[in-house]
Amino acid sequence: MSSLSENEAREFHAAYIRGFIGFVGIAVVAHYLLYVWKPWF
Amino acid sequence: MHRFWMLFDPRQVLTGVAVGMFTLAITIHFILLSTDRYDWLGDPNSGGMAVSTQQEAMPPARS
Repeated sequence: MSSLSENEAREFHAAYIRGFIGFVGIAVVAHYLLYVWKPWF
Repeated sequence: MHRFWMLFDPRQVLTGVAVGMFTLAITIHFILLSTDRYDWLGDPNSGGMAVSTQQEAMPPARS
């Protein structure tokens, strides 16, 4: 159990999801560029 | 969904995710470097001028 209150958990969750979306976005761009360079199928 | 963070300590989860992602990333990068097709650095010994594998005759010795 963590010591976060419901509001803190909600706040952290919003930041976590933002970071996750940013990470996935960068990964998608990287994969697109790599596929343009040398497609793997 | 946000109740997850009431169950698990964000510090531990963030550290675990960071370590896991770094390990995965370095593994994938080394795997790609070990292939011929996706090795973006290339063979440092094959670049630039073409190297002949044939041995050429020595110039005639001066007398």
